[in-house]
Amino acid sequence: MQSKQYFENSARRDTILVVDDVELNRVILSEAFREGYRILEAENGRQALDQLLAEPDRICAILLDVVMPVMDGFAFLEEMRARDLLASIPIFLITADSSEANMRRGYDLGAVDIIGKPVLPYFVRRRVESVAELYRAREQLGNRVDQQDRQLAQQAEEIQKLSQSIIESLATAIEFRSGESGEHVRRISALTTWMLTELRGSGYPGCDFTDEQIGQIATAAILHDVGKIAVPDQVLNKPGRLTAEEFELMKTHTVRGCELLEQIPQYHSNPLFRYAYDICRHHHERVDGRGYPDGLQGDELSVWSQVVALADVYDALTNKRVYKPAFTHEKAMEMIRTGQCGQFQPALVDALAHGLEHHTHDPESN
Amino acid sequence: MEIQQICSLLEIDWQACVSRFSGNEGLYRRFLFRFPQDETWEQLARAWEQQDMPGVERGAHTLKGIAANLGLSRLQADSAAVVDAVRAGHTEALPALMEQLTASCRLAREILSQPAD
Repeated sequence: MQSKQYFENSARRDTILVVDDVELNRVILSEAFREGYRILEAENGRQALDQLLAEPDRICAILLDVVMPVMDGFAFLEEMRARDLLASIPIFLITADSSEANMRRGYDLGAVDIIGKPVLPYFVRRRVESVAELYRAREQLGNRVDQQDRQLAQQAEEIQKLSQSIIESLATAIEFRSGESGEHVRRISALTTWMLTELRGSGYPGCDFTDEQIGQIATAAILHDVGKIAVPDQVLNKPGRLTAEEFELMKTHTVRGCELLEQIPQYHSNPLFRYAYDICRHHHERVDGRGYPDGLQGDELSVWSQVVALADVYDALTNKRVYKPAFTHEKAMEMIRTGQCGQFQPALVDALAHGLEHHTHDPESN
Repeated sequence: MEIQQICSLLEIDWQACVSRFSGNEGLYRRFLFRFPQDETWEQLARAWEQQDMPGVERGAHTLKGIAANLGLSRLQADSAAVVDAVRAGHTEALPALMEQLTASCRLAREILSQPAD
């Protein structure tokens, strides 16, 4: 559909503009192109400019006399250049003065060819048509490349959206098993984006991410609990307190999540999956080394895994779970700051608070 | 007067001229026989009378172009000589050259004013 439109667009260049103050000269040139072209005539550069600007997309060549009253051929060329029209419309100087200086000036001002007077119609037509055809082909090619660029960008975006939605579906299906709606993964993703943006803004070490990287981490965050698929229903959905044995089983969702991700063929080439691996494995670590499964501490932990860990805790606190009611924002922040859910870097907790402030207190409003 | 006669008197190559009008003989005829009404000659004569050299150059230049397009070779050569002399600053040659141009222009006007077959 678009290509047809482009075809029509370039097919509209059907007009030759003849510019000469002497009627006889215009008649001879017009007669040469009468067959197959629409002809416009102008008596000087000023008239020609008005006609050109009225329909710049229809003119396929301009035949231009040099010596004319009001605005001469050279001045007209300069006006064309100032309007950036020389690249799309070829101009032929038709002149009786074929001195070297004159011809050089014509070429320097952007004429594609200089034809001596008196003109021989057959040759003028051949010369003009071969150049006009070149311009037409170049324009069509340029249009086609633009169009294909747009198509490619659109397809890349569609693929990106599709893979995002596949990741979301997978994560939602897993969350669904533990009685969650898809909202949890979406909230984690939003909270992660906001916190990373805050941290980048405040110049926190290791946070000079691009927007694209933040997007990748936010998508990877969705997968943080993917290992829960390996945890049995009766443990995952147990309303009461877990036994020590059950808790150990529950904790395996971190390592099982990375094992699952490692099975994905694109794992090694896609930066998203590298983030996802780290996040799956370490989103239950704490900065003081008292988390699981590896007991990493401080700088051993990546910023993104700490960010997702905090987002996960905040979201769990402010939403209802089978084992607890929903706490208010204030209560949740207090519990986090006082270390009731494990230790976090204070700067990260501040980023969470600021991020929430900037986006209201309702993460779903984004 | 017959076309053939006109052609020989004014040194016109009829076929070449018709092809300059892309084969449109009627169009060529129309412009050829309109030449006597063209006012370029009057403008040139006035400039010469007033010794207005840029005016002489412009007038002779325009006349040269018209003559070339209409195939009036003699007139074309004579106007070209005037243009060249003015540009080269050879004013001393101009009276003779203008006289020649006047003669060939008058001849062309005269012949082209008569009805042609």
